[in-house]
Order: sequence, then C-alpha cells, then structure tokens
Amino acid sequence: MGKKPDVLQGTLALMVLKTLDVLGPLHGYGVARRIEQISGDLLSVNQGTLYPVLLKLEHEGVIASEWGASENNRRARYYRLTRAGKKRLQAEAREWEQTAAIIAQFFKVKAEDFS
Amino acid sequence: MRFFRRFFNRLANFVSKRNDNRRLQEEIEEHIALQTEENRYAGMTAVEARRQARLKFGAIGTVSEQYHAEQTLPFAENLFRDLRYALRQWKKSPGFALVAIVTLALGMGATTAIFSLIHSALRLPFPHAEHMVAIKNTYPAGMATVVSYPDFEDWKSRNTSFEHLAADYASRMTYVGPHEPVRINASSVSSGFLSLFGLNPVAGRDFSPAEQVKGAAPVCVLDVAFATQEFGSPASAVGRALALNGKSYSVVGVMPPMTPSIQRRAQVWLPLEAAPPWENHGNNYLFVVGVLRPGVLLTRAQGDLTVIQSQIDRQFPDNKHGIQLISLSEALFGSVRPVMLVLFAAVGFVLLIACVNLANMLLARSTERMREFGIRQALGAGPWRLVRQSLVESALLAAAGGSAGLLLAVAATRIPIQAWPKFLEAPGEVHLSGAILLFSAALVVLTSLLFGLAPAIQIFRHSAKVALQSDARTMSGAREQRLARAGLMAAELAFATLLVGGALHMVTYFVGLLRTDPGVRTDHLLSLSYSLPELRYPKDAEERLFYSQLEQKLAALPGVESVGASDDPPFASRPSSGDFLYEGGPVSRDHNLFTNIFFVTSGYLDTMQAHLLRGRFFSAQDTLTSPKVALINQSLAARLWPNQNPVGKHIKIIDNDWRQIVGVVADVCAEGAAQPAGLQVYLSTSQFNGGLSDISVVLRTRTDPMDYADAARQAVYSIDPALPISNLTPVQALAAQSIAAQSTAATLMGALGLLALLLASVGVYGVVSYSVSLRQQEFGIRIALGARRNQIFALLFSSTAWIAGPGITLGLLLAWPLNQWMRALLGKSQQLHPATLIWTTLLLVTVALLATLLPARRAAQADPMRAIRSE
Repeated sequence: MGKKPDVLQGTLALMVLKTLDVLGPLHGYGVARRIEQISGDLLSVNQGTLYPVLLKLEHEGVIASEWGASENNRRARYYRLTRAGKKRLQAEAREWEQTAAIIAQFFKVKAEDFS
Repeated sequence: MRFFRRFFNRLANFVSKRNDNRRLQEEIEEHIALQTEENRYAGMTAVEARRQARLKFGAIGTVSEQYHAEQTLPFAENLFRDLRYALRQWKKSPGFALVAIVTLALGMGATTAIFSLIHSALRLPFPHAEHMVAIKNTYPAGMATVVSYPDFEDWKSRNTSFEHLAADYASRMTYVGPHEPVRINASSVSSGFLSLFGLNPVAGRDFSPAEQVKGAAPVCVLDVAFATQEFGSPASAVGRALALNGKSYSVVGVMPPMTPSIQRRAQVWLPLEAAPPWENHGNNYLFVVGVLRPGVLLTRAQGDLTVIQSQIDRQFPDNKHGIQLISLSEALFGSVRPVMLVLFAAVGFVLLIACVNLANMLLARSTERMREFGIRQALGAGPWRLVRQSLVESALLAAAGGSAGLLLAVAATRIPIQAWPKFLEAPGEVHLSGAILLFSAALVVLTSLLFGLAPAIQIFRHSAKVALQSDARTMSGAREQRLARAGLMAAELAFATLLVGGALHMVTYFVGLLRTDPGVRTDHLLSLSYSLPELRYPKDAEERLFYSQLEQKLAALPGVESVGASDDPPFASRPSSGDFLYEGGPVSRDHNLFTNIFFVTSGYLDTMQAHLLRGRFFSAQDTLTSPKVALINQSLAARLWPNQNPVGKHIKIIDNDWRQIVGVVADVCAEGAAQPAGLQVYLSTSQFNGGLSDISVVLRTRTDPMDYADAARQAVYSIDPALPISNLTPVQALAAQSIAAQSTAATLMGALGLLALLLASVGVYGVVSYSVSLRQQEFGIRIALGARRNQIFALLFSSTAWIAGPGITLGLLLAWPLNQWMRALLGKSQQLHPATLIWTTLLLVTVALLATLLPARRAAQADPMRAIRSE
C-alpha cells in the first residue's frame, strides 16, 4: 500500500520539523494537534500516519526522542529537533522558496512576454 | 546519505530482531488518550470521545504496518516468510520435492560433468593452441604420413607463414639403469619444440642452441616422473648420466609431462639436430608441428608450403609428394571428436528430458495451488504478493537442485584417473567448464521459474471468484493445462525414443564389432615384443640367431603349442605399406594401389590360427635362396584376380623380384578389431635380410597364457640377460584394447539410454498418476455404474496411448535425420537397422504402459462411495 505518497510524507516531514523548531520539544499528539491547527484539513484524519514519519525522521537523525512525562503525568515520548534537523529545515525552506518563486514567475507571465 | 542511515538502521533492527512495537503501542495509547480527553472537554460522552478519538487516529493496523515497515527490511522479512512457507509445503509433499530436486540435479550435474570432462580432455592447453597445425606428407594413394628431416629443414628455412616450426620423432630406446634394462619412450625434438608446448623446466634447463647442432655432445631432458623414479628428485637428476642404447647422455633438465602428448608420452627428450637418425629425403619419420603467424590462414600456409615442396620435388623427383596441413586439435582428436559430439547430443537430450519432467511436475502442482491462491487473494493478498511467493518457491527448488547438481558435477570431475576412458588421455586436470555449468543452470532455472509461475500467472487471468470455485477439473484453464501436460509428455517420450534408439544403435554396433571374426583365434595366445640393440646385434646373422634360439626355447616349454613372430603385436599393428606390381596388371608403379605389408616368420600364421583359404602358409622350405614367395589376403585376391585362383600368380613388391603367391589368407584385423583389414601381403622373414631386430613374438598356449609369462621372460634372459622385453600380455587383452574407444562410447551411450528410460518412465508415471487423482470422482462413478476393472484399465491405457503414440512416432521420425547426421559424423557405414527401431519402440511402449499400470490399478480400485462424495 505505498500509494499514498511520498508527496504527503515529504510535506508532513517538513511540517513536523518546522513545528518542533517553533514550539520546541513536543510529544506525538502535540505535534499532530499543532499541524492540524495550522494546516487546516490536511491532517484531520489518519493522524496515526504521523508516527511512521516520526520514526523515519528519527532514523535520519534530524529529530531525537526520549521518554518524558506528559500533561497528565503519564509516560509520553517527546521529540525535539537536532542540529542536523535545524540545518535540514533551513535547506528545505530555501528550496521551497525557490520553487515557489519560480512558479510565481510563471503565473505572472502573459502572452505578450513571448515574442 | 539519509537513505543509507535509514538502511543501516533497518538492517540493524532486522538482524537484532528488535521490536519497538511496545513503544509504538504506548505512544498510540497515549495519543488516543489525549485525544479522548480533548473530546470530553469538547462535550462528548466518554464512550463517544474514545470512539471519535480512535476514528481520528486512523487504522491502527495500517499505521502499525507502516511503522514496522520503516523499522526493518520488509523485503527481507517477506523473503524469509515466503521461504519458510515454501519449506513447509515441501515437508507436506516430500516426494514431489525429492523427485524435483533429483531431476534437476541429474539434469544439470550430469550434463555439466560430462561436458567438462570431454571439454578438458579435448583441450589443448598450449600457448597458441588455436594457431597450431600439424603438417604431413601426402602420397597419391591418399595416405598422409610423417615427414623427412631434410624436408623439415627446408620448410623451416624457406617458409613465410609460420612463427615456429618444430618436429618430433618418437622412438623406443633401451635404458640400462640400476635394475634390468627397460625400453623407454624417447622423443627426439627439434629446437624450440619443448617451449612451443609451453613446457618449462622443473629443474635444470631446456636444450641450449649449442647442443642442437649436428655432432654436439649427447644430452637429454627427462620427464619429471621418470626423473623422480630413477634419481629420487628432479633436482638430483640434473647433471647425471643416462645410458641409452649404449651411449651415455648427460641430463641437462627435467620437464613436466606434455598433456596431451603428441605421440607416446616420452620419458626422455633428446635434441633432434644433434643426431638425426636419417637425413635423406626418402626417410619419413618426423611429426611436424607449426605455429601460424598471426593473421595467416591455414590455406595460405598450405599454399606457401606447397610451393616450397614443389621446389624440393624438382631437385629430388624420386621423393615427390604433396603436403597436408590440419589444425593440431583435428590431428590429435579428429578421430575422437565425432564420437564426443554424439555423446554431447545424447547428454543434451537427457537434460531436455529432465527439464520436461520438471515442467510437468510443476504444472501439476500449479493446478492444486489455484484454489489456495484464490483464497489468499480473497483475503487481501495482492497479485504480486502471490507471484512473489511462486517465484520464491521456484527459486528455492532451482537453488536446491542446482546445488545438488553442482556437487554432482564437481564430484564427477574428481573421478580417479584409473576410471578414465582409455581412448582419451586423462587431462592434467579437469576444469569444470563454467560455460556449460552456467548454460545448464540457466536452462533448469528457466524451466522451474517458467512453470513454477504458472499458478500465479493464472491469478491475473481469472478472477478470485473463479479460483475459489476451482476444482482442478472444472477450471476453464484446466483444458489448457491438460493439453500442456499431454504435450510435454509426448515431447519427453520423443526425446527418450531418440536417445534410446541412438543408444541401442551404438550398443548393437559395438556388439557386432565384438562378434566380427578377426581372422585369427585370440584365446590362449601370449604376445611379447623385444628390440635388439644395434651395438650388440650389428648384423642380420646375429638377429636371426637370437630369434631361432628363442623360438626353440619357447617351443620347448611344456604347454606351448606353437611359436611365431611378426613385426608388430596383433591388433596393434602399424604396418608399412607400399605400392606394387602384379601379374596381369598395369606395368608402371603409379597405379595407385597400396597394400599393407607384414613380415612374418614361418610359424606365425599357424600360431595365430589364421584361416588358410588356398594354398599353404610359409614353411621351412622358404629360405633366402629358394624361390621368392608371398601370401596375400582374400581382399587383395578379390581385387587383383577376381574369380581366379591367385595361387601361382606373381607379384612384385618391396624389391625387384617377382614373388609367387603360394597361399591366400582370410582377412585379419591386424590394426584393431574395429579396423577393416584392407589389402594385405605377407612376406617371410626368412627371405629377407633384416626384419628380425624389432619384433613381436606370439605363443599358442594350452592353458591361460599368463601362466607362461615368467617362463617366456626367462627364455629371453637365458639368451640375453640385458635385453628388455615389453608388451608381455595375452592377445585377447590387445584385441580388447584396440576397441577400447568403441567400448567406452557404447557403455556411455548405454548408460545415457537407461537414464533416459528411467526419467521418461518417472515422467509418464507422474503425469498419469496425477490425472488419475484428478479423475477419481469420474472413476468412482463409472465403477458405480458397473464398469469393470479391465474397462478402467483400457480407458487409462488408451488415454496414455493417445499421447505416447504421437510422441514415440515423432521420436522415430526424428531418428532418421539424426542417424544421417551421426553417419556423416562418424563415417561409419552402419545403417540404422529396422530391428533397432522396432526394439526401441517396444521398449518405450512397454515403459509407458508399465508406468500407467500402477495408477490404473489405483483407479480401478476407486471406492465409488468415497469418490462420489468427495469434492
């Protein structure tokens, strides 16, 4: 079942990184809620798909995790951004800006510009 | 980079089987708990809150799977799971697995082993082997012979096509060492000969240029086995002196053996140029080998040498002759290669039969698996999952069979040299031919993959519903499967027919050989050979004296009935040949008739119990001074004077005297039990000078010939204690040895034929048995409706016959062109006997029927009640 993609996974990963960057260490549920709030509908269902992404990022070394106490004093796993993660975030942000700029250029183009 | 980090993480997890499932479970629990709390704050009931929380989370199973997939190597995990499953299947039907693996192993292993053995034996491991050619003289009667020394020297100096030309003269010399004198094989070689064949000294060195000029001090190079045997080690042999034929040779080096050797395996090498035995154009004795210049074709070299030879011929018109160039491998193996090819083909057929068997078995299994696959598909397995499963199973089968085959092949190549077929010189080492291994491996792997995938492929073609309902009999694909099975069985029987036919043909041919009358009685006959050294027997008189003394002593031994001698041992003759004139024939000597010439003592033909057809054998009345006589064989008589009595006619041969023919002898297979006798003339040694220095004596004994071996040896030593004797064997052994090649080939073919029969019968049994099991219900119904045992039998036999018939017929039809090919290859005038074909057909039909018998009995015993109720 690998149909749902990598596209979603890729943007999801970025969102996770940015969330952790802005808000500091969070547990899985916290990340999910914040992303839901910011992205609107994107992650309102199937929140569970976050966890494989978290694991993948952890394997890549851009986030780290450890056990901690949640709000209700229960055991929860907290994720934080590593230095490598910060670098990755910056690099990816740049890429996105570039891509967006190029696309924007294309949308500004009118027929007369080609002559 | 990231990929590798993840990959290594996964690998580590996979190997250590770490399972962070607990962690995931906890996280999931926590997540859902938190969500539930929020929902409760938002106003839902406890139950509803939790439910909504779980819905929002998504399918835990899927998340779990994805998480797990991220953790380890799903590929490897699936592979192992598939493998375990496949192994479980095998445990369930061990018979199938065993038969499949054995079939694969036999097919692959036997093929590779035999190919490698033959390939190794026919390989020429010399540097430039592909460019090496043998050069022979040719004479008008179409004979190709060895070459004379001055011709060789002229070719060497005048040619432009060869990098190197070298020559070799094989002879026997008497070596007197610390023990009794022995005859050893000596090889006089021209300069560069040893290095041409890639021989590098194990100790000492090759001949130096100074040692290879006429008149140089006598030196020699030893074979390493001989050096070790005589002097303890190769190094200690260097510098020692060797007494050969009364002369002392100094050892300058030790060489490894040349494999395969051009002529007899030499124990000592001598430089040819230092003392060439004969130096005139008429004496031919050299085996000449050349290495073509790069880019020079054989035809061009042939042209080049022909021109040179015609120049020589102008100067020496008495000895003119043509030249023939053939590649070295053709010269050495030409006679053996066709037989090898036939064996190759036979083994190839065995491989094919094995593959067909395998295919059938896999197909049969595939229909059983249809239902299982249908269920699995209904439970959610994607089609690729099933294909992968089939692939893994087939690959496992191929791997198991392949490794077994490889083991078989390797084991076969370690066969001890004693078991080596006698007509092939055992190669230095046997290389497992990688190419053939790969080829046969590819073939069987392809077969197993192709047919093993059949059930999975069917999935793509039929919906799961159909598969679920399938009952191997009623599936729409069942008809195709039946046809496929039938087709494969027919093909298998066709191949088997071909192979069995070929084997029978070879075996009958060989048995025929054994039965042919060699023209003499071979039992109770002892043979021994000796060669009188020139130094002690310089004149003809001494040679004669020796022989007559020996003959007397041998004849006086109790139990010896008669004694005779000839120039070569029986069945191992290499007769000289010459042209001749005959009474009533053309006057000049150029009429292209050559005949083999045999010098025999007066007691020889009598001892050999050759068949005298007319006239008389030689006797004491034929001496140097009495009228010159000769004996001819039946073939020559028929050729020269058909329908007339040759006795009393005259023939002029060898010298200028007309000889009277006093008797006609039936053809004798002097050169080997399988060689046609050809034209033969016998001349008495008592009427010639010389001819008694190098001869082979035969004794007719009353009891087992080897009983007299010691006595014979003693007789020789009592006259001359320093004379080595050789070839002390019963003549029957010589006869058997002369057809060793055919014997081996026939044995191998027979074995292959049997193997083919076995495989075919297993195949037929399998297919019929399987179709019977499919039709159990049908048989049950028939029996319930009153069918009797023999009716069921008839049913099954006829259905087998419908397939076997066309198969066997196809095989028989193909036998004809195949036989033509064999005849062209082997050059034998053996026509494929109708009897052989009939026997082949009978054999195959019997096998097919027998193989059907067991399943038929099972069918006839089908319990109607059980059969009707079974699904």
